[in-house]
Amino acid sequence: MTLPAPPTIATLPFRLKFRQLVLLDALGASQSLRKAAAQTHLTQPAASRAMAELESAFGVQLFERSHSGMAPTVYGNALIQHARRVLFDVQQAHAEIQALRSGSQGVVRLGSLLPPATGLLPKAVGEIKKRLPHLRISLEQLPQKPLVDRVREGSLDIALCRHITDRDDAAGLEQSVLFDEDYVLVAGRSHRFARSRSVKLAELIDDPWILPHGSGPFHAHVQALFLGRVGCMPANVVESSTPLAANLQLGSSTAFSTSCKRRWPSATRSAGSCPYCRSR
Amino acid sequence: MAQRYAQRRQLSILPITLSNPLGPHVIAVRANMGASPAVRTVLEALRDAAAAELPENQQALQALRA
Repeated sequence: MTLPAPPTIATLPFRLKFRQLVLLDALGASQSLRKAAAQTHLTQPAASRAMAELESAFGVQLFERSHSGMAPTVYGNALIQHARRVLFDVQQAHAEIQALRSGSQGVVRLGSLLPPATGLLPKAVGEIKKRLPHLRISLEQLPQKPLVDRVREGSLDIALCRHITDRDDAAGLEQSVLFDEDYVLVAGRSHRFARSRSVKLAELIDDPWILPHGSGPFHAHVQALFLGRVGCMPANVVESSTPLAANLQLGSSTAFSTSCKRRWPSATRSAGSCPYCRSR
Repeated sequence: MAQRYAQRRQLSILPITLSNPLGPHVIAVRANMGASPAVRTVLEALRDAAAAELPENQQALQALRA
C-alpha cells in the first residue's frame, strides 16, 4: 500500500477529526470494521473512508486488512493508545465542566473583614462544605482597602467589607447589604456601671480606655464622639486594633466594640445607590 | 462580637447609645463578573447565614425572595 508523504505537525491538527479517534478506539477493541462502524453510528463505507483519511494524515498504515478482520499494525497500536488518552481527557473535561456548571467544584476566593470572619463566615462555609465538599474555598482576612482593591482587580471573587462609599472605589462593583451592627461600649463584669440602666460618656472619661488605633474612620468617629459629648479625650488610653481581645486582658478598662444587634436593612443594591448610607 | 462575650459573662455591655459611622457590612463582587454557580452558591450561603442570625433578618430574606 502506497501512502503519500506524511503531513507536517503544523497541518496535522487540521486534518484530524475527533470522530476518527472514536472510530480508531472502537476498531482497536473489536478489530472489525463492521462492528466499529455500528458502534460509532457510521456506515461501513464512511468508517472505511475515515480510517483511510487517518492513515493518510499520519502517512502510515494503521491496520492490516484480512478476511478475518482488521489487526492493528505497530503504528496502529501506538495511535490507539494516544487516541484513548485523548478520549479519556475529553471525558474528564466533560465531567469537570459539568461539576463547575453545577457549582459542586471549582474555587471561590473570598476575603473578609474581621467581624464577619469571626461568626458569620465560619457558619456559611460549614454549610457550604456539608453540601459541596469538593468546592474549594480560599479565605483571607484583610483590611477594607485591600479587600476592595483585590475584588476590583479580580484576585478575589467576593469581599465581605464595609459599604464602599467612595465613588471611584465603588465603580464597577455591585454591593448588597449583608448585615448591620451597632457599636457598643464594653467593660469587665465588675465595672461599676455594668448593672446600671444608663450611663453618660462623661462619667467614664477618667476610666482606663482601650480605643481603636489613631487612623481610619472609626478612630475619627470616636474622637468626635468624646469631643462632642464630653469636650475632651480620655487621658488613660491603650490603643489597639483588637480592642475586645485586649479588654479581656485589662478587666478594668472600657472599650469600643461591635455588637451583634444585626439588621438586614435592604435588598441587593448597586454601588453607590444604598439609601441606608445616604441617611448616615 | 461583644454580644457573644457578654452572653458568656466575660464582658458587660454598658447602657450607652452610640452611632455606627462605618455603615453596614456588604457583599461586594465585580458588577460584570457573571458569577459562576460556585460563587452564587457561596453568596447564597452567606446571605442565609446572616439571615439566620436574627428572626427579623429571616423575615426580610423571605420578603426579598417573595
